[in-house]
Amino acid sequence: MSDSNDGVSLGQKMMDNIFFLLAIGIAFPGIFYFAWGLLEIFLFNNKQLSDYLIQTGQFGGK
Amino acid sequence: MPLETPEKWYKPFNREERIWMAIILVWGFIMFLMMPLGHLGKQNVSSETYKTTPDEFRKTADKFIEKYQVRDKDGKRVFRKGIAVVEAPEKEKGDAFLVARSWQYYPILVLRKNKTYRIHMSSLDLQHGFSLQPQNLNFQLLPYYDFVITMSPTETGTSYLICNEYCGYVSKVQAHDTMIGQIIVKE
Repeated sequence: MSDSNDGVSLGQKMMDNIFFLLAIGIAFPGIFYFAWGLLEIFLFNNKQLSDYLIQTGQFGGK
Repeated sequence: MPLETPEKWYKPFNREERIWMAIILVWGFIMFLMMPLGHLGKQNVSSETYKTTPDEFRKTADKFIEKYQVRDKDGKRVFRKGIAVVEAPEKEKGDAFLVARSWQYYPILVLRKNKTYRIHMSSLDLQHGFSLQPQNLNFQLLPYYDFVITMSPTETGTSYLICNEYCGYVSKVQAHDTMIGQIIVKE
């Protein structure tokens, strides 16, 4: 780096690095939405309607 | 503009610029968080779902219609334009079922004002829409997927169900744009 960069803050150096911006621009939403997707999958109800009807005593199940 | 890099090009932000940057950052972060946070709270429809099959759902809906169909004073079953009219049970007494298929919704549900109902909805063939008008409640109805909404109507009158997912065309009377159902709310 040249002397002209003396005194440049770390934040400014980061914002000047387009590859760093590209990396965090992909990684941050990527990780966030991946985690959100996993949460949705684990919270999804896999119960069958027939099991629900038996459990609630409606229409004799299936 | 000089063609070569000046010796001291970097100037720290002044106070006003830093304040604006902070506001933008905080607001952007709030907007970002609102996407998942919007899924929490009472403004959302319940996400209760069950796996089903078109055959299972049709049989269940038929049993529901058999049990709850409205009868006239002579004991005859009531239909409106060939569609069974059913007095849906309140939440505590049982669940209601609404079927979508090309190109009709059945049965016609009769609800009571300010009572709470659990309505199971599914499609027997392909993707259909559930657009309750004029209240403008919109859902998707998919085969193999039983979607349950819990609702308490607060107004009397007839509301219309309109399919807002294009579902095909055979003729002028058998087509996506003719797929209209009804929900009747009484006192």
